[in-house]
Amino acid sequence: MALNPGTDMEHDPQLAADYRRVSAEMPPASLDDRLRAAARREVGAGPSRKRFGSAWQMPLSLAAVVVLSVTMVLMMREEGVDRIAPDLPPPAAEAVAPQVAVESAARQGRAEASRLSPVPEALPPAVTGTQQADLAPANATPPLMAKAKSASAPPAPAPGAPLRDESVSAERNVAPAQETLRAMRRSAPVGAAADSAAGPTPGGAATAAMSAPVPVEGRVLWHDLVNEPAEKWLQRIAEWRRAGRTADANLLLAECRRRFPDLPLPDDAAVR
Amino acid sequence: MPTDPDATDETLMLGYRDGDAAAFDILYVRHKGGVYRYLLRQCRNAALAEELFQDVWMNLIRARAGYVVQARFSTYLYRIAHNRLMDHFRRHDNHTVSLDDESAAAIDEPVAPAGLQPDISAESRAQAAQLLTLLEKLPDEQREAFVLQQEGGLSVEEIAEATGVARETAKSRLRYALVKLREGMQSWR
Repeated sequence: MALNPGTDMEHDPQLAADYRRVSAEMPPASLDDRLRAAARREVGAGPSRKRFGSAWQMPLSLAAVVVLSVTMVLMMREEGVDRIAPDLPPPAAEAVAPQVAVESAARQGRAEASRLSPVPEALPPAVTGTQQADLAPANATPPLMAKAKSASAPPAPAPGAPLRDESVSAERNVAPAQETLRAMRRSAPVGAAADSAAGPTPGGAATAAMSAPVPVEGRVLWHDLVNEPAEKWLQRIAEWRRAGRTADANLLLAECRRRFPDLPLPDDAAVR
Repeated sequence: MPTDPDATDETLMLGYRDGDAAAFDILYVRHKGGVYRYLLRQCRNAALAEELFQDVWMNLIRARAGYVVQARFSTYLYRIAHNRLMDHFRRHDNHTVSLDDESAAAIDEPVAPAGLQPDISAESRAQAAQLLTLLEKLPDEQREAFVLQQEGGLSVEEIAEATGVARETAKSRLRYALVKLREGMQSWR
């Protein structure tokens, strides 16, 4: 049998041409449409329910993110103060500690009292004071807070509000520390109550200081006087005023007033 | 980015795998005729060929996520078609269809497609009908090898891969098919 020109054992151009000329059947157009639609559905690009769903996918995702974010912020606001508090010295516990324990510590001398103090020595007093002001319960004793913040003597005490200036002064000194704490809050939101306690106005800070608990440092000031009569307290106050330790004297005076409410105060012991 | 209509089959299939539905449309237009005629020649029933044709493309659509280029796309596509055809034959136990069988009545008579190419003369139509008749008479495997070569443009190696046989087997089938067809068409040349 003779092969066509260009033919080899697996190719026959003449046969191929003949076949191509007669081989023209095509699938019906309805099949074309059905298969194309199926292909689009498979990749989610066709006009199907899947596409309808994908059209809502973005808004629904955004709504879910917003709801979750708001929920998390609200939860963190509720739990924020409790979260930070364990990291700090427990001021409230110190403030409400039984007087017996304080007196017992005083009897053991200054060194022993210092050892019992839970305030870390490395912590700047301003930071400690500010944190305590931020987290202070409302019924805490005010004057000792100021001692923790400042050793400088503020001038011109206002009658009827003896320690306010002290607190304001202390607030000025702790401003950088408050900024640090605000930065911490921005990164980890805490409760609104804590935010308002660290408000930017000096009055607000003073209020926070007034409501602060008794800092442990303050107790050291009079640890050797706890069993002494009122005269000793007044004598110490007068000594400190003469020495220029106005802030300490004010703290001591406040404690003295608390211990001896009916004691008439001499002029040299008055708040300055 | 719009799909490149001149892209290779493999690129288009990868594009479809990655979510480009337009790539599928181009692939479909390129290969729908060949796949349909392959199935039609092998099962010799237009209705059945349409059903199998739909299954083949649906299988391709479903398998798109796992597509990787291991061979020419044509080989991949016709392997799907071959497997679907074999599956059908196994289920219906009519792999070997003889024109003498009772089922022959259900087989579409091979006719030259009229109207598609109006310039074809009566002699050419007769020649086409003769070629299709000869093709019908070929054993399934030999006919399959010839049709895969003509419709899918597959080489001997690719025919072997698509049909799951050794290269020499595919080569032998194709040779026998060509010899028989040439002999049958001798009177027209």
